Order: sequence, then structure tokens, then C-alpha cells
Amino acid sequence: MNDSAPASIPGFDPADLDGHTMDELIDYLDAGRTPVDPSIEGSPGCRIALDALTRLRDLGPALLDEDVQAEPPADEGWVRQIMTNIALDARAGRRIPVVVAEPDDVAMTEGAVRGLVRAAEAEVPGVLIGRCRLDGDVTTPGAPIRVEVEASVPYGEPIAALATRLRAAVGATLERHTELVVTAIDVVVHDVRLLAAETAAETGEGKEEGR
Amino acid sequence: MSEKQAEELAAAIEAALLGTPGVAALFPVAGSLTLLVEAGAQAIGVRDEPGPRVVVRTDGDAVEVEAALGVSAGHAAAETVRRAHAAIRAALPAATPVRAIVTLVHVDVAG
Repeated sequence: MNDSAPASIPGFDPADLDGHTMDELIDYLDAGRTPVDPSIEGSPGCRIALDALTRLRDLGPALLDEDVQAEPPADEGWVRQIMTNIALDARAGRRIPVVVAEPDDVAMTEGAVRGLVRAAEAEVPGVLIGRCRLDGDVTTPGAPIRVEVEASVPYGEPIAALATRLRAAVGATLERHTELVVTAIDVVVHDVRLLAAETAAETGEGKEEGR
Repeated sequence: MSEKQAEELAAAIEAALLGTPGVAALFPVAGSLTLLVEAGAQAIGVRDEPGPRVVVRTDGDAVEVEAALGVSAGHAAAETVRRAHAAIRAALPAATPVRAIVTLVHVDVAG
């Protein structure tokens, strides 16, 4: 799992997770977030990543371990890709202003907003958001913003319907929590995956040996 | 404003923020090496260099307050930030020239 260390991710600065690695966060989750690690719980980037990792883990208790333990030959497994994107999206990024009457600097980080967008995946069971982008000048109040999310969807369900539900969930989240003027939400399905049970059935192997 | 007064003000603002509906946590403010006063001595910060949770910088009578918030998704995030900003302003003496820097850094989707 060393490949998932933030330092190995292009464009990723270890400071984005306040010096922690994705490996450390996964181990921390494995331990039930106990004992409490103040340096992780006190890091916004780590908290955003933990939120996403928790949902990823909830999708299948052994999902992370199975994929991570496998040695992908040419391309990375989809879980590894998603973990890479989780780390990248946890970066604070730009300041998105919240308008107030006084001449103060009130804002939310782009990372916090990306975390919200990513959380919308919970509204569509089985769907995982791989990457989230906010295209447009988010630092200017009222500027038009285009949202793009890459998603991994489960095999066997109509992709268009899943994308529509995800788009609606993302839109509702952004409308409720932000003042962004969202002009479009593009959902790009880049991966269709078999669920673990289906994989095992197709290969005729048990769940533990399904990969 | 004396250092002691600034410390008391920081503590008062921290209490006000944590009492604001929707505010779930305060995070260490970035750039802690340049900070003059810190409140919240509990070491919840970044590794070996815990940062303060509310920062009050003073320059003569002028005051600059900085805070980084975690909020609960049970409340609209932008509104929570606005309430937090108002709580900071309300904690300061009316005549004090002030600049507030408030940043929402995490939304607790489980909260």
C-alpha cells in the first residue's frame, strides 16, 4: 500500500494532510479511530479524507484491503484511484467567499465544498465519486461555476438513472450549503464495477478468494 | 489591548463560537508561528506544532480575529459561517476597529 502515500501522488503536497498519509488514515479507521489522534482529528484535510474513506469502507468492509493488497499490473485498481483522488480533493484549495455586510474575510475552503460534493454519493447507494472539480472563479461571488464529478457505479443498474440521481444530490447539497451559482453539474461515469458477491459468483470462488 | 485582555477576548470568542448553532469544532488556525495570542491550550493541533483555535492579533486599538470552523451538515453551512462571524463581532467591544477572518474548513456530514 505504499503507493498510496500522498508523497507519491502527482500534485499532492504532504502538508495537505498535515503530514499524514492515506495509509495512516486507513490504519486509523481500522482501529476505530481510537485512541483518538489529535493531529488527525485536528486536521481539516484528514477529516475530509476520513469522511470519504469511511463511506468507501462502508460499501464493503473488505473492499479497501482486497484492492490494496492486490498488486495491480498495468493500471491502478479503482479503489486506489479513488483514494488518490480523495487525497487530492482534501486539499484546502481556493477560498470561496461567504458574503457579509462587514469588510471581513469570511469564506469556506474549496476542500470543504469538495467534501460536501463527495458526500452526496451517499444518496445514491453503490456510487462512488472519484474526483470532483469546481470549474470557474469560485473566489468571486456570483460567478458561474460548473461542477464535474467522476463516478464509479455498480454493475447492473441503469447508468443514466444513477447519474441523474447523483447530479440531483450534488445540486441539492450545494444549494443548501453554499452560495455558489452552479450552472451545470457534469457526471462522468468512468468505471462500472461488479459488486463483491457478483464477482465471486462469476468466478465460482468464495468471497475471500473473489479477486 | 494588553496581552491578557487579548487572551481573555480569544477565550470569550472561542466560547461564543462553540455555542453557535451548527458549529461542530474549531480547528487550529494556519500559520501559527506568526500568531501573537492563542486561546484553547488543548493540543489538538498539527503534530508537534499545535496551533491555536482562535487567534487575536492586536495593533494598537485595532484587533484582528481569525478562526477556522468545522460545522455540522445538519445546518446550512454558509448560514452557520455567517452566524459564527456575527458571534465574533458580537463578542468584541462596539467601538473596536476589527477585522475578522473566518474560514469554514470542514463539514461534518455525519453530524
